Amino acid sequence: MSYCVNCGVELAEYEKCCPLCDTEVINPKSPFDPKIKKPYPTYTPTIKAKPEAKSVLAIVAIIFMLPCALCLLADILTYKSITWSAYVLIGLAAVFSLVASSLYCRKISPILEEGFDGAVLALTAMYVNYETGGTWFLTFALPVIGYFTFTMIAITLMKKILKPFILSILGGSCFVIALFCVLVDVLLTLSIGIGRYVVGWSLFPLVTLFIIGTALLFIDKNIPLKRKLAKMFFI
Amino acid sequence: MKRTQKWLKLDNAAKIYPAAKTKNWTNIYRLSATLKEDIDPDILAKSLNDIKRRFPSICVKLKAGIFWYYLEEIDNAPEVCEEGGYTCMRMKFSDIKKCAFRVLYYKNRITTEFFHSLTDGNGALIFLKTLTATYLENKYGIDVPHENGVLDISRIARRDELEDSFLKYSGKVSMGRKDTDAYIYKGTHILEDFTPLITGEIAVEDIKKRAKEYNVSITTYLAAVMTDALQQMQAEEIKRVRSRKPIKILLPVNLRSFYPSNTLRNFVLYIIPGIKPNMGHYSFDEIVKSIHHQMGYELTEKQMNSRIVTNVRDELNPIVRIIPLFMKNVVMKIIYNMSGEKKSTITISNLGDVKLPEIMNDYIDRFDFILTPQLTLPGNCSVISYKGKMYISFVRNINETTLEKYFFTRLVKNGIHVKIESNRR
Repeated sequence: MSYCVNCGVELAEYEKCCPLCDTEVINPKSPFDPKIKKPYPTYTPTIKAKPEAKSVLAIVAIIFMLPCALCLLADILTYKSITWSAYVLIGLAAVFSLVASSLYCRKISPILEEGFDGAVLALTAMYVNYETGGTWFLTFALPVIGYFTFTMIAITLMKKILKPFILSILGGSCFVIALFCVLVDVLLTLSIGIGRYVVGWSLFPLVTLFIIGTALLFIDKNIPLKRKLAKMFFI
Repeated sequence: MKRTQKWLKLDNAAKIYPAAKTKNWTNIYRLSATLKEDIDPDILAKSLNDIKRRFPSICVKLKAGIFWYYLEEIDNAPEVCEEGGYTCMRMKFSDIKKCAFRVLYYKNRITTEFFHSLTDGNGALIFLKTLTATYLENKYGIDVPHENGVLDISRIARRDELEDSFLKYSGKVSMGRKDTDAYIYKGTHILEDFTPLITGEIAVEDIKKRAKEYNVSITTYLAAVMTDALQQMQAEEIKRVRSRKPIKILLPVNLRSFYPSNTLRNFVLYIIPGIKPNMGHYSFDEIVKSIHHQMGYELTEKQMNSRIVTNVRDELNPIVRIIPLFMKNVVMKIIYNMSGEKKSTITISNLGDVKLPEIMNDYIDRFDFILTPQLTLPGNCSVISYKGKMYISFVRNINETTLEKYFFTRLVKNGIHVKIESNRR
């Protein structure tokens, strides 16, 4: 029979410290015996097993093989050579690469995954540009894909650095997406000639996303308001 | 007569619990009986199967209709599992839709955990007593008489056991819901999926003697000790006396003591006595007197009835009734979040002294009654007594044990011997 010297309560024989004040129990006549069974089981959270990356990739490959084979067959039977089906093949190869990178590169580094995805998209766009004899790759596609990759890396980094501040991440994401819209708008006007002004429609998402981003950052800083809103807007 | 209806409307008090649930919280509570010998899971499973038919309002799952949730009888008794988690482990809403209660065992303990929409502590205790009695009959071949809350499982449920007594005993005069917000103590939230529990074991005689010194009931005395502990916590947290908020203790009241109801469904209301520390420091004598008189004023049939009317009137409102369930849920959730838990500092739910048929006492050591912490409140307290011992259980969702420490050390200072145990890992 041991008592807490701080609280004056008797402690159950399996208590190593007082549950009320955390004072260690020191009883020379009855030292703590870790073998004494507790009345409650030790709780260990169960971890859900995830499917292996290899098997996921194999399933995706099998699913993709069907449209590839059908498109190739139809193309060769019609034109006696590979024409339009090359675009389908390169498109599916790009999607397959994106799935593979999400399964393998993410384990190494999420930033590596974003970089790899950007490279895949750029190569795909370059191929289409080359095959169609276009001139939009260097002036439009590459800067857009480059900035998009930068945006994704910035969001990934924010997620890593500001992990508990989800609203700040969303706010920061609003800012980079707003700038992305402006870039697309400017490049569309300058390189392809769509739109009357250098900066046109992108002003609407720019203003909207900037206001939303600022509001989210403000809410994230104001903890009582954040808690209140979290309770009110729970779905 | 054979009962054909396999479903029940939720009773008046039960309606709020499905709407108030969140992804990580559902309102459940636990009742357990600790036997002298280890539990045989096969016999326990058989016993559960034997009593299932007798409790058509408890052996149910929660289903969603277009306008309201309802309870539907389960075809087979749920699997009896060994306790592997923590007390009152989170019951997912998807699980509640399959079976809204669970029966567990651990060493020599039989545990039942219920979603609050099924029944209140009184109904749950009858279920546990009947389950334990059937287990003892199946294991030891004894004959347990059908008294003191042990039901005859050879009969089917009576109509009055399944009634919604709120509707039956609702009067005409309604009482408003206006109430001030209460002091809510703070702490650092436990992030992991675990509910810490601290139980204090005290002799009923000791606390009865102390309560008698003040000429009050045990519940009043416990509420006063809790209020005093919370007063100290608030004084340490808020230095400016005028800024201090009312400390209010939510005490569930078993309405069966006011009305001749035999229902096994929810039939409890609550009173919220308290003090106003912004007026200055209250001595313990003042706290006891204040709570005693508030309880005396509130605990009358007339007062209780006007509270029932307030709740029932909302349910019977034709406009409310035709609103689709998903919209009702949103509205009820907002109302619950805005006011539901702000009106009290903590709950003390006292189930009282457990009485059993004499023969069962030889096989049972103790009973435990444990609540889950409320959604936004940091802790909850529940009390049950058996064989002259009182078990006061505190659960919390914060790391700090300040309230528990202040509460139990006050009892010790008042000359009451307290034995503490916990589920600390």
